[in-house]
Amino acid sequence: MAVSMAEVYANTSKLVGVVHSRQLGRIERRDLERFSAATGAEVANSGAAGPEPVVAHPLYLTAVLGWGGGPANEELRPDGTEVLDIDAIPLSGLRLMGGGQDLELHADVTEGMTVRSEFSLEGVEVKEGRSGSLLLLHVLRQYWDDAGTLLVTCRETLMAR
Amino acid sequence: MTAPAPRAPVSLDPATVQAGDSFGPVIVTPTQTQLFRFSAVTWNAHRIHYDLPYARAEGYQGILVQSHLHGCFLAQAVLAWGGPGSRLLRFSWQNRGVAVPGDQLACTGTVTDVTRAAGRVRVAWELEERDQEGRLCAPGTALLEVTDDQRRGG
Repeated sequence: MAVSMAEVYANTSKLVGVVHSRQLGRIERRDLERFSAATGAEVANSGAAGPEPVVAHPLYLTAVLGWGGGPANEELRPDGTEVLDIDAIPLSGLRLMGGGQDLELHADVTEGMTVRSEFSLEGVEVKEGRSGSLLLLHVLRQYWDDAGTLLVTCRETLMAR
Repeated sequence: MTAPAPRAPVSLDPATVQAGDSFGPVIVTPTQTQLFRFSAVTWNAHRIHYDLPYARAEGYQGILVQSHLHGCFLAQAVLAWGGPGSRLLRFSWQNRGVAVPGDQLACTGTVTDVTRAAGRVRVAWELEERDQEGRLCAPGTALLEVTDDQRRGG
C-alpha cells in the first residue's frame, strides 16, 4: 500500500535525535593501504616494517559502507545494496540518494584503533522538487576511538523520493 | 558546453599563499578497474558502479563513479598542494553531476582565506571537480593546515 510523503515525514520526524550506535571494529593497516591504492592517493608511512602507524585517508571512515561480514548474496536488494544504519529510518520504499558530506576531521585515524560510530537524524523536511516531493534527511554521524576521542563528525543530507 | 579554460598549474608556497590564489587543474581519469576496487574496499555492492546493463537501464551512459570517490579526488588534489604532512581539518563536497570511467575530471582550488599563526598556516579553499565538457560534478570546500615542521619533513 502506498504511503504518503506526509506519513513518511511524520514517522521519520519521531526519530529525530534518536542515537544508533555500532562498533566498527579494529582499523587494519591492509584496509587503509587498499583504500588509498583504490583512490589513487599516496599512502602515508607505508613502509612495510615502518615504525609509524599508517594514517587513514581523510574519507576512509565515512566512505566505507559495511564493517561486518556482510549479508548473504540472496539477502541483498535487487540493486545490490545491503541494509545499513540509515535503514533504521522508516522510508516505506522511498529511494534514498546521497549528495556529499561535510566532515570535521578532529584527529587522525590510524591503524590499530578500535572505532565506534553513532548515527542520528538531526532533522527532516519535505521539499517540493521539479519532479515532485522530496524528503530531506539531515544526518549526523560521529566516530570515536576506544579511548573516547572524537575522530570525525560527518553531516550529510540524504534525499528520499 | 565548452571545456574548462586550462589554468596553469601554480606552485604556491604555504608561507606566501593568499586569498585568490589557485591551483590546478589536477586531472583524474577514473577507470572501470578503479571503480571496482573502490566498491570492493568500501564494501559497496551497488550495481550502478559495476553492472553496465543495470546502469544503462537506470538511464546512465555507463557505470557511475562513486559519490565518495569524487570526494576523494578533491581531497587528494588539495592535499597534494599542501604536500607531505599537510592535514585536512574540514572538508566537504556535494555531488551535482555524474561521471563515468574515461571521463577526464579536472580538480581545481581557489584560496578563500589564510590564517597564519606561529609555526602553522591554515588555508581555506573552494574546490571544483568538472568533467571534460566543463560540467560541474562536485563542488567542495576544504580547510587545510600545514605546519612548519611538516613542511621541513619533521
